[in-house]
Order: sequence, then structure tokens, then C-alpha cells
Amino acid sequence: MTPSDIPEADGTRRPITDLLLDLSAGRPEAMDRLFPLVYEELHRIAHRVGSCERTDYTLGTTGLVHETYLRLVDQSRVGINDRSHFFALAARAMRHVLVDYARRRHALKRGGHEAPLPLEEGAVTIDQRADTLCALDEALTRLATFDPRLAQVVECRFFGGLSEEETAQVLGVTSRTVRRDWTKAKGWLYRELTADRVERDNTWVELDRLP
Amino acid sequence: MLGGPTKPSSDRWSKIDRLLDEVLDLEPGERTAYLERACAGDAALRTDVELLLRDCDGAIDFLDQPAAEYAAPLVRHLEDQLSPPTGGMRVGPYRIVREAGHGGMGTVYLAEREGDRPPMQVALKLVRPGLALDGQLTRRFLEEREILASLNHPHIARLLDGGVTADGRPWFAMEFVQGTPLDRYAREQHLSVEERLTLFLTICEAVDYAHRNLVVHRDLKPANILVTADGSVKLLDFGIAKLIGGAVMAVAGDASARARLSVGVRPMTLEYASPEQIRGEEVTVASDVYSLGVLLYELLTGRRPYASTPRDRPEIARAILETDAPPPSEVADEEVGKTLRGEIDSILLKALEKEPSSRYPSAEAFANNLRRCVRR
Repeated sequence: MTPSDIPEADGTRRPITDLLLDLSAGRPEAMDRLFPLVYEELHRIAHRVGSCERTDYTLGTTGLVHETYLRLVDQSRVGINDRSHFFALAARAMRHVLVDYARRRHALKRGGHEAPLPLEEGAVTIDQRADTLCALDEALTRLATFDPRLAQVVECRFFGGLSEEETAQVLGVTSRTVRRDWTKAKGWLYRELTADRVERDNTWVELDRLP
Repeated sequence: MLGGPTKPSSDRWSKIDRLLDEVLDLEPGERTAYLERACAGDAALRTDVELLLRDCDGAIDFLDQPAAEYAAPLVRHLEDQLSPPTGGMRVGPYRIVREAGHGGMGTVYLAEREGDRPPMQVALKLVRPGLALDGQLTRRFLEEREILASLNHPHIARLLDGGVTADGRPWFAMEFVQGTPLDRYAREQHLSVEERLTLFLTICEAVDYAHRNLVVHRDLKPANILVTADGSVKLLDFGIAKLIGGAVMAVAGDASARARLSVGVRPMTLEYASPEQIRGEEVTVASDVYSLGVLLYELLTGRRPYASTPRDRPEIARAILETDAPPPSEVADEEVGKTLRGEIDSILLKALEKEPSSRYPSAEAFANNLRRCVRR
């Protein structure tokens, strides 16, 4: 399956473009309808790629967010700002899609339906992937409470697969700021994700006592 | 940070954040001196920044792989499990009745052959979509299927048929066996050590028969050994691992494609795999002898032959590759331990040798040594 094989989503293209224009025109309630549509679309693509995966097309190539944009939005009617709005919300939708998969894996495990998984080529198992995605999602939610922009950079870069420049446009900052935010966010998340697994020196207790 | 998650106050964070920005612009050599000056009198602040800075440096490669790519094996796995073919679907001459179970390579269905009166029930294994074959591989796959179909033994589930669906997914029809997995059967029936050994000897006979016909099982584990209501043993999936594995490795011919096909490429169950299987080396009769050793060890002691309890898959792999199994008599409960001490200890440890050539040369040789203990 290549991007050109994916049929255009004519049925949803117009309403999605309309909603996107509403959003830019200062009607934030459009988001409530837009988000589920984009989520559905990303989930559908992930589902399809997941169930007919060969070596020629993977979920990672060039970014599903870009592809979804080309499919769902009538580019003749929108400007660069609308594109940025779309990228931001699609990156967030992608985060939800992938984290929902991870939660489903957890739910299946809890339900005792899980089958023994065969040894993988790499060292990262499916359960480790699910665990990491869930932990990352939670850490990201915490990060957003005191530095929303850092969290959004992670959504755009990691979940949305957006470039530094695209992320800068989405956030209305310079590429240089994005680069630095990305470094800081990764450092903070890295710590959150490794702290309970890696034994640290005592100085970490200090940080734990922060107000 | 030890324990719970961190969440600095916004005031605190803005100080840390500003310092981080400034320090990240500096050469590594200038950072310490700068922080010393900037944090004069606030040692805690300096520590916070320094530690976070260390994590920023340590996290260079972190999140480098796009999320969708990282999650791809997880998505594939769940899609395979959550969207099985619906009942009534046709595969070759068979009609799927319902799902009967699933493993890493695909899903097993209860199916019936069309036109038979009464309909013959089979276990139909459909390999998952990602592992489809092309023309040349299909021919090789069908040739190997012939060899497996020639196995005819009362304790081996017959391979009845096999083929490739229109979209290139290999499938097999096997004798449908209703039974209980070996480990559960032994537990539920409260089998004695001697009864367990007797059951195990039958398994060895079946494995030896296949080996004489040049078929190695490659994935011996309790789930592949069923005990039927009349107490007889049936081995499932003989050689299927190779049939699928060979095809898959060939599909993923080049190294990068192989790396991307990250799930289920090597069809085996880690817990019962031999060191050479984990290393990806040649799998022989001796590999089955090893897996039989793990099986018996667990059957007699209730534990797998690892010195400690591994927490994750890399640790299991390390235990298999690096650490010697403790004598079974030492890990079994006291009563059983007495029976195992001495002869059974040394027979099992020989079957579990890391070096294939140090193990018993055949399942029969393994069985003969055990048989002497049972008779006594």
C-alpha cells in the first residue's frame, strides 16, 4: 500500500475543511467535532497499515499526519495557519490513537487473553512498547501542567512526526526555540521514565522534595 | 528522583528553565563555572539544573524514532488479534467455524471440510497477514509441507493439508485434538513423579520418530503437547516453526527488511528455546533435546531451569545463554527432591548443556537413560 493507493476521503473532506476554517475564525467549539474525525481517520490508517503490513509501507514513513492532511483537507481553501492548526490537532490525535493501542494491550493482558509472544528480533518487546507509551503519555500530561509548550513540542515532533520547522510554525516560535525545547523536554521525560527503574544517587531525593 | 513523579511549581520551573536555556547555549566546559555563579547561594537549584542537564545529554537519542514507527509492532499485534476472519470464511476446502486460539505466528481456528458428511473437523492455522509469501517461496513451502504430512505417528497430530490463501498467507489444516496442555494436566491430575516420567517417555518416543524422519520440532513447549481425555499424548505443530520461519526469513531477505519485520520472525517460545536458537544458529536434533530437558525440568520441579527468576525477556535470554541450571533436586520440594537427587539430576543437566554436542545425541538416548530410573 502506498499513499497513492489510499482513496480520497471525499465524504469527510468538505466538513473537515469547514471545521478547520471555523477554528481559525475563532470558534474553538469546532475542535469538539474536528478531533474525533481526525482521530477516526488516523485510527483507520493505523488499522489498515497494521493489518496488511509488508516491508514497503510502514506506519513511520514520512508521517501519517502529513498524509492525513493531504487526504482530509482541501488545500485550495486553507492557508498556512489552518495547516498549522490541523498539524497540532492531528499530532494530538495520533498520541491518543497510539496510547489507546497500548492501553488495549494492557487490558487484554489483565483479562488473561494474551498469548505468549514470540521472541522479537530487537530487544524491545511489544509489552515494553505498550508500557513505554503509557508511561510517556502520563509524564507528558504532567509536563503540560507546568510547561505546556514543551509538551506540545513532544506531541508535534514525536507523535506527529513533524519537522522542527513545522513545529515552529504550529507553535509560533523560532526553530531554534523548538530545538531547545525538544532537548529540555526529552531530558525531563527521560528522567521521568527511567527514575523508577534506574538506581540513582541520593541527590535525587532533593529534587523529590520540590514544592 | 526516587519514588514518585516530579512536578515542580511553576515559579520553580521557570527558574530551572531559564538557567537550562542559558547553559545549553554554552560549551560543556563553561557550564559548571556559569552555574556556580548563577546559582550562588541556592545549592538545591544548582543540583536540579545539573541533574536535568545530565538527562538532557543522556537523552540525545531518546524519542528519535517516530512514535508511529515505535508503536508499529504493537499495532500489528493487536490488529491481528482483534480483527480475526469471521466465521464462515473459506480457506482452501475448509470453512472456518470459530477461533480456537492464537499465538505469535497467527491464529488457530476450528474449521470443517466442505462437503464431508459428517463434516471433518480440523484445526486450521492461518499465518498472520504480515507474513505473506510470493510465488517461489510458496513452492518451497508446499514442498516442506509434503515432508511434514508424511509423519504418521499415534502421538503426533497429523498435518492434513496446507496451502496459501489468495492474499499469500500460508495456512495449515491439522488433526483437531481436544486435550489439556501437559503442564496443566499433570497439575490437575496430581500425577506422581513416576507418572510424569512415563508421560514424558512417550513424548520422547514421538520426538525421536520425527527426528528419524528428519523433522525437528523447534518449538516444544507444554502448550504444544496435549493430553486427551483417555490420557494419551499428542504433539502439535511438528516442524511448523521451520515451515513458517524459513519462509519469513526469505521474505525479509535483506537485513533492513528483516529488522523492520520485528515481530515473530523467529517462531519459537523463548522460555523453552535452546542457547543456539537464541543466538540464531543452526537448529538440530540437539535443540529439541534441550527443549525436552526444559520441559521435564519444569514438569518435575514446577520451575524452569534458571538460577534466578528473570523479570523480562532479555533476562530470560541471558539466563539461557549464560547461567547453568541448578540441579533439579535443589529447586523441587523436599519430597520430590529426594527422588530426583543423583541420577535424574545428572540426566537433566546433561540434556540442558549449553553446548549442543555435550547433550544426549538423540531423544531416544535421553529417554533410555530416564527409563532406567523409572524401572528402579
